[in-house]
Amino acid sequence: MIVRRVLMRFAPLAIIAAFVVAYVPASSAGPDGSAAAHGSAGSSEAKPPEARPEAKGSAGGEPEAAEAADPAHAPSKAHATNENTLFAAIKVIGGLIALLVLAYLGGHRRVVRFQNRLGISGVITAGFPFVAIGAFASWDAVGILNEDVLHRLRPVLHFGLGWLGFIIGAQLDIRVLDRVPKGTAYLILVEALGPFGITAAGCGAVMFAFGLAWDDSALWRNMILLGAAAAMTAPHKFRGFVNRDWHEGRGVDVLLAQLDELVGVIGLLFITAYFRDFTSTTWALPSTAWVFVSLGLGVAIGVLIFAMIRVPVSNAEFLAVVLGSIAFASGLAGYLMLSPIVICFLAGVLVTNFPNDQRESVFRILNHLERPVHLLFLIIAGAVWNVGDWRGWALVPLFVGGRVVGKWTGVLTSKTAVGALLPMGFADQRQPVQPMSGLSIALVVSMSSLYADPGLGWVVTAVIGGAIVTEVLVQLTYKPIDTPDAGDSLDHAPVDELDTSGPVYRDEPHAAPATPVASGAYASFPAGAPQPPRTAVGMPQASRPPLPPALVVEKLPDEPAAENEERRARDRSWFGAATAEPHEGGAEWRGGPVKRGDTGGGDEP
Amino acid sequence: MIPALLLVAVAGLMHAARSFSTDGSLAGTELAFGFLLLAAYFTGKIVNRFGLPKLTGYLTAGVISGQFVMGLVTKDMAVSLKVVSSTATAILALEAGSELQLKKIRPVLATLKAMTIFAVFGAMFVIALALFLMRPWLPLFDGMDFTQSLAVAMVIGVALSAQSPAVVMALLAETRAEGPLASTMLASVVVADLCVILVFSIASTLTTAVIGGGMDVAATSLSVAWEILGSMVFGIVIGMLIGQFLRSITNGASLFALMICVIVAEIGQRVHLDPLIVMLAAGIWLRNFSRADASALFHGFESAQLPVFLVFFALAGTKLDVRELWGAIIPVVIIALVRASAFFAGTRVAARTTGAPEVVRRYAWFGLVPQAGLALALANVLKDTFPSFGGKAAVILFGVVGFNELIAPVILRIMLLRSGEAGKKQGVDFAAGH
Repeated sequence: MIVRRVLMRFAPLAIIAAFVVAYVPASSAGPDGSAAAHGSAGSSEAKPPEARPEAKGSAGGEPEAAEAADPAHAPSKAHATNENTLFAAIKVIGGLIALLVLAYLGGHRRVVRFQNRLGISGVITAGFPFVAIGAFASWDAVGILNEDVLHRLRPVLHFGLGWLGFIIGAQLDIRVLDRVPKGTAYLILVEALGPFGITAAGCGAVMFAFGLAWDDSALWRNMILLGAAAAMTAPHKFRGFVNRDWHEGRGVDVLLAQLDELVGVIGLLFITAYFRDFTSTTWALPSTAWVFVSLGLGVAIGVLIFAMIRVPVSNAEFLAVVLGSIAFASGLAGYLMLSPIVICFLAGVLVTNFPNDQRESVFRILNHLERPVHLLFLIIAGAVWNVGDWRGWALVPLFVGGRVVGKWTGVLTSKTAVGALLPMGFADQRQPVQPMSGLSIALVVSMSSLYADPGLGWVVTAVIGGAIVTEVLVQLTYKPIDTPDAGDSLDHAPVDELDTSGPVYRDEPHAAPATPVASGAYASFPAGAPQPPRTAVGMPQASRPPLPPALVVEKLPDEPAAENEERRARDRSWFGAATAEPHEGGAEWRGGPVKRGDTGGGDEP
Repeated sequence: MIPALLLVAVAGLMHAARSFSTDGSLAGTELAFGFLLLAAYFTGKIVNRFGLPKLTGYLTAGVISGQFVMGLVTKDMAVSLKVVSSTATAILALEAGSELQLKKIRPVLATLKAMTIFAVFGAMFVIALALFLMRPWLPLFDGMDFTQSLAVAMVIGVALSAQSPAVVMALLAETRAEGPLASTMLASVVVADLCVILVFSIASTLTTAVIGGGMDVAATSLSVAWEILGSMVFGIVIGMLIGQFLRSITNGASLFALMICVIVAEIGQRVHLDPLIVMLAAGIWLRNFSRADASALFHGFESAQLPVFLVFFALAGTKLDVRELWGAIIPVVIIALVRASAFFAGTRVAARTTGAPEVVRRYAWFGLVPQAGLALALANVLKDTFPSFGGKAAVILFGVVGFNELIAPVILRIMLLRSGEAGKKQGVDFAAGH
């Protein structure tokens, strides 16, 4: 039974553990790290020719080279290598077992139930065991996630960041922007700018007091980073990074969480453009030009991916193209020292907003990687977290306080300025203490992979610690509001048990797949209801099977096209709220509901 | 047309990015991974239009974008992608093991044994003999006496006889071939690989002793036994672990098995276990002895493994130095012909003596011809273990491997199509993508 349960926890951790092992420094495995040392053929097809220079490099120096040339020295050297190799392997395996035990304990149902009883289900607290695993694995005595390993994990991390940016962008249906209720843009702006400004200013002052100079670019970078991290919010019930596309009927927190992530993306765009290290590059461009390089690259990659995903003729090929595209995009971004999140975000927006039949397939593949990538972030966040530095903890109250004050100011301002324009309940649903977005964690992890200075460690502590404190505050202050939210009907659940691809016991009473979460405007699949067959690659929208009648949520009547167009033209400027006619309470949705794959633009003529 | 345009666009972006910095450590790994994946995929599509195997396209993409031609993928980038090729080998071995159904192999077991003796071991001796006879023209034998030349010829001969289950599996998948020929081919190439690993360990130890070093027979025996038997035992344990997972948990098995492959590929080498044998044993156990139904696992693997294989073969292509191959073309072609002839003759004898079906008699020999990762790995082992002649020997080895990499898949595909077994297998085809 225990073995089975450990195995169950094994799967979500699989990718991470595998990559950790894969990137354990070769030096710890002895000079050659392979059976080649004693002339064995045991390397099989796995060993590329380049293994030799690598081995040579680690052996280092001419004396060793001369020794290697002398066969008589080979046995003793091989013997020493064997011992080192075995020790390193045992250490790694031992560390892995420790990780697995921790993962098992952290994800055990009793622990999850205990968490639920405490009411914590947010981005960090629900995944806190994995943050703890990262911290444990980076502990010197364990030495699994040491600096070298983290450095070697950078490719995986970059890919994960690219994936994250792509999926956030892909879920941003820009037609939603035409349909959000009046005044929402103002609400988003003030709710994002408030926490951004107050947190950045407050924490900046404290960091200055801690010794960072005003003319040190790191201080300004850290201020923007903290401000952006504070500005972003998550829905009360965190479901990971997928399935957060807003549609009419979902809570305002989902909409705002989706849209205020733009603040984080824009913050990253500017950080990577204006805080660059120019020493090791051949392109000499002014900082502002890098903003346009980022935008141009994102658009170019987006167009390229859009063209590429039309080529595959099978799921296997589709998987290869999507993975290759995101890896290529994030690699390009990393190579140019830009943010993979930004570049892939732009690409994602383009790919899924151009009319195409591959949108569902893209999401299906992206969904598969949700859990490993998210857990990877949490583990790496734990690994780069220097818990012992008190200065980071000193920033936590400021970070949380600044965020709360900023949100409160934003809510008040928006109520005062555009309260009459907002749909019924929109402003009332906003609370000053709101959970932090998962992107905040990704943001600091991303920066940790690009920069290295003491102040960044404080930022990591401030954001992770701030997320934990925030979520505790959320639970203390949260007032449930009865909103028609088709997609948010699940009970609290840990982050690694939310998607239906997770492990399911064969002999478990509830072995049936967990209730799927509806992602479109029309459908919400209750437990036990039959799910429509998945759409195959390239299958035209028209040929998709219709949903069972019981699952179709009533569709609001479309307005006549001419009237709709007139209204949209009148309301096009969100900021010109004063010119728009205030409507009389209640949510007024412009046009018909938005659904995935609705390439025709919903209510557009 | 569209794949070609997309290929140009991807290569253009890669070229532009590479002009930014010469420091490949920035984000070279994921950049190279993404680029090779896309380049190999689209090149495969293009060459397939001309009736060539997609595998040739994957290799060609690697050759052209590699360090020796366009330099888009540098040596450092290729090194950093070692984990991908290691994992691909482990996945392949698991799949190859799962393909070896003892019930199906039993009818051709006698042929298999005879092929191993006549074709595999026979080819080792024939190639060694050819090298020995060619020694006046090969500078690697300079300054060696008769015994030393014989030992060196033997160890190089063994290395040159290495096969590639990866290529055979990829082509069997691409052509969806099934039948006695496909079974015999796959089984023979897997068994041959094991034999090469075993014999190479012995031959390299003997050669070390002959050219000046001492030989510890007990230590060598222990080492070889650990590598072969230890790998088998460990593989069975892995197979039981995966089987237990399959029996206990309904989903997540593909991810679990993938993780196992990565761990075995990386840790296995460090404890001197052969990942190929480990995963092969695991696959055989799962298919033939486990009570778990692993068919869903392998089916899931098939649809998810294309990216790994695209990068695996493209990476193999990046290591091919076409100029070096051209410089040593005459001895390379001679040795490649001798090698192929040895396999042909050995297989014919084996098939005739055991009364194998006509299709096996005619075509099975060519399954032993393709080469890829194992031969390259052995070339590097030679380079590292025998600095006095290893470098020169590696030139010949790389040349023969490169020659076979480019030519063999094309011919093997034609033979599979002619055999009549192509298109008989149902299900997902990872290489063809159907």
